[in-house]
Amino acid sequence: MTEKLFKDTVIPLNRKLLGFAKRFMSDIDEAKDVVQEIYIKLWNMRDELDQYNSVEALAMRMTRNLCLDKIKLKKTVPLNNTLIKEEADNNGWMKEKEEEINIAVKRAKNIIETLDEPQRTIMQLRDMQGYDYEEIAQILNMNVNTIRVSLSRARKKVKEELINKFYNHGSEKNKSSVREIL
Amino acid sequence: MDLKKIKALLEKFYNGESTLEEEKILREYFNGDNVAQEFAADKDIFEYQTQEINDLEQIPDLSDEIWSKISEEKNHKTLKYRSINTIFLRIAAGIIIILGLFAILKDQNMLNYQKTQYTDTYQNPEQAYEQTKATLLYVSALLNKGANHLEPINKLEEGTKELQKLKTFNEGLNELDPLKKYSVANKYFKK
Repeated sequence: MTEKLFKDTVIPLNRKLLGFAKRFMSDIDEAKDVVQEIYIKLWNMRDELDQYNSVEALAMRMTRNLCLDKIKLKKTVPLNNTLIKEEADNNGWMKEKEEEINIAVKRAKNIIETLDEPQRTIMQLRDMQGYDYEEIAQILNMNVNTIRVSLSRARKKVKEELINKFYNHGSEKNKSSVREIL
Repeated sequence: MDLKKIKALLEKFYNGESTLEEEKILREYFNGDNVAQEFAADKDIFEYQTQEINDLEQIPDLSDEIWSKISEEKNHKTLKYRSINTIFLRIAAGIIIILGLFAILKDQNMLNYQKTQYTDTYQNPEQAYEQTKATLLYVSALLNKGANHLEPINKLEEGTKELQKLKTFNEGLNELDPLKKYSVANKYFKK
């Protein structure tokens, strides 16, 4: 791949990569470092890039792998479970953002953050970054069908949790009223 | 939009069968004001998606930063290349200098060797013997003179002999050994 082609086709992907890395790193500066590192790697392998049918998928995959490696290395930023919420609260950048988000959005966010890693990434790629299943399959090196099933489960789980946590009062009332009638 | 259509789209959404276009329609519907109460949980999900998509639009473009880093990397590479060349040149120059010195020194050694070739100085063997003897005697006399200065070391030896008396002190200490039994007995008393 020539220098010009690299500049015209690969460099513009950086916003997508940063948006993706941001999901993992919880700190925008760390996410930026990841993206920079990925670009140096891509630049050094620019002669081989023509062999890949989607450089974008490759770059996204590399970004995810690097993020997961960094998280593993640090072990201070858990990917799922409730710890991430505390982390986010301590983090100024996330805090500012969270203040802007209304309560309803926060509810969904908290639940999505408890999802397992591949599920959460699939949801991010599909629902936030708008990739189609083929592209997600390439990025994650998984089967299209597996991704569809996993995404369906993730979406259903989020809705279920939302109902259980926040919208169950109505149905409980209904149940108790039914009991009263009986 | 009528509820039936929304419900059908939602079903497809939760089964992972909706298209990107259909998901966009859902997001638009749930960001509107007239959302039925029964969709409250769904509304949360789609509002969150919209929020995240808006956030992604705020993501800064790092193109310039990245390109300057890559340029640095490029310069670094060529610099490396250049420095390797200079290192090679230096090593080559060093080898040439060493080889040159070798050649010169070798030549000089040969010259010296030729100069100091031994030749007989005496014709008469007896005379030569006498001369050698005299020289050796002179050397031995000088050596003895030096050895005389070492005499005071004997005094040091005498001093150490006096220190032998310390042995008796050691013997006295050994005789005090039975006192240990006393301390053992003491332990029993304490018990």
